[in-house]
Amino acid sequence: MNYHKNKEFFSAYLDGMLDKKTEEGVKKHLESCLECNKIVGEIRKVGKLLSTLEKIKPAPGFEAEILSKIEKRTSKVILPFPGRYLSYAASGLIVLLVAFLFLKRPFTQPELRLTKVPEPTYKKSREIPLPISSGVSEIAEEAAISSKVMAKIPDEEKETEKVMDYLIVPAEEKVRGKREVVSDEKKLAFTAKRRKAIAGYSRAALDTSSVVPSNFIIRNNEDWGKIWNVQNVKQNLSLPLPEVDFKRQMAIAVSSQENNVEYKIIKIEEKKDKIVVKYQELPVEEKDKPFSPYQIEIVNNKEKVEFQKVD
Amino acid sequence: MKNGLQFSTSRQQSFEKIVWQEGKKIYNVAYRLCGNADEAKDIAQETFLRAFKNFHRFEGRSHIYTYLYRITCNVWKNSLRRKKRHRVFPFSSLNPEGKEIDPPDPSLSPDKVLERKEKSSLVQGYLQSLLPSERLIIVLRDIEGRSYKEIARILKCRLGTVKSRLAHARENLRIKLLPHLERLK
Repeated sequence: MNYHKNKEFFSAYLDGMLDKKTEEGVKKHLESCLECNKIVGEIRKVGKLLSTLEKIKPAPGFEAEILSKIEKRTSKVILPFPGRYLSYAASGLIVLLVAFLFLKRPFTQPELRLTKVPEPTYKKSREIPLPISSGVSEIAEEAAISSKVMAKIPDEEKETEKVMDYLIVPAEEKVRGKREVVSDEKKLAFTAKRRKAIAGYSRAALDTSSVVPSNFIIRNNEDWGKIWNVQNVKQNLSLPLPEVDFKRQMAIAVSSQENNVEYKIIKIEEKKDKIVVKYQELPVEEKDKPFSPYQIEIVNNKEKVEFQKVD
Repeated sequence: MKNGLQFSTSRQQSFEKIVWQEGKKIYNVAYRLCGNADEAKDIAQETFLRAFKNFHRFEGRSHIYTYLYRITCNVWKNSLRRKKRHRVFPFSSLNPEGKEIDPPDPSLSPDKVLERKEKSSLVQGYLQSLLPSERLIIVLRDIEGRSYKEIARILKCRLGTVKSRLAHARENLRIKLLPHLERLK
């Protein structure tokens, strides 16, 4: 019997689930094989890790809620013998009456009404930002505004587009090898170009009329890696990147919290040509409560994504 | 019995006792399976509601937790089937709030408490990356400590199947956790 690297035997061996003969064989093999000994040690460590995990407890009132639901179900009124059949008969009569009235009405072609389809409320996808460095706003990072300049900007303006007003444009540039002063026209064009380049940047502070939470539609592995990295960095975790088949799927990342508003995805609906993300807006109850930056859903690939707020 | 919803008072009282005794255990299992606090609550509630509905059929031949675990597994599998179209990565629930974990041991330093939370989150993350069948068997054996025989009864499969599935699941998890094993002692 070959025991070398036989993980099925090792697993059962650790649980004492082998017959005596096989157990002896495994034990003897482990005495002489360092590699297999190492594997068994690792399996044992993983088992210990799992068995010593904290027990996750439900919120208070969990059991009481279950019992209350059970009580509601058991308090249904069961009609005595004659009453039950009377109610069935009454239901049948109502159905017959409705059918009779319906059939009596002359058939007419329903009027065709055209309704205007509202404009979709989804935002376009945009580039995924890299993990945020501390002390520098995302917009400032994109605009390459240095931390020295950032120190001079009032706090209330740091997270908004106003930070762009502090963008230092080059005073001189090289033209055909010679240093020349940059004209005012060129300076304006430079700023405008930078503004346009980050115009799609998703920040609720920029767009106060925003009706949807900031979101990203991820359609390739590179962006997927970036958003996952943001999730890990923000929460000080190092979880492995899950595999997504971007040939048939895409990821939707929705901001969990912005400007004291918590966004919660309630439902994802897949339609023929679009994905509908139904979400709720809730007030942030605990300001210092840790949260993950994005809620991520993997869905089938569709051209459009629509966001619908539900109450 | 004409109506499954009508029970004798003593049976109802027995079930109430079971909810208080096993409720937290079932919630913990549901959480480790789905990785999400809200979903775990729904699964656990549905488990007890179904268990109560069919309680008149429970003859006591197996332990009550076998009966409950089986229902939990079925409810969870049904929820997976419903979510088949899209996977959810409830990152936030990987860091359950303080109220969901045992109150911190006052003898532990804040660093140790944080270390335990991080360990729980990291391991849960890797659990979520396993296939559902692998995750289920790891939860039942390595987290809940059920015997092979109990697991075979819960999953309604042979002992040999439990052995091979468990070995496979442990191997997959071992490979994923390998870079972190030294740190997570």
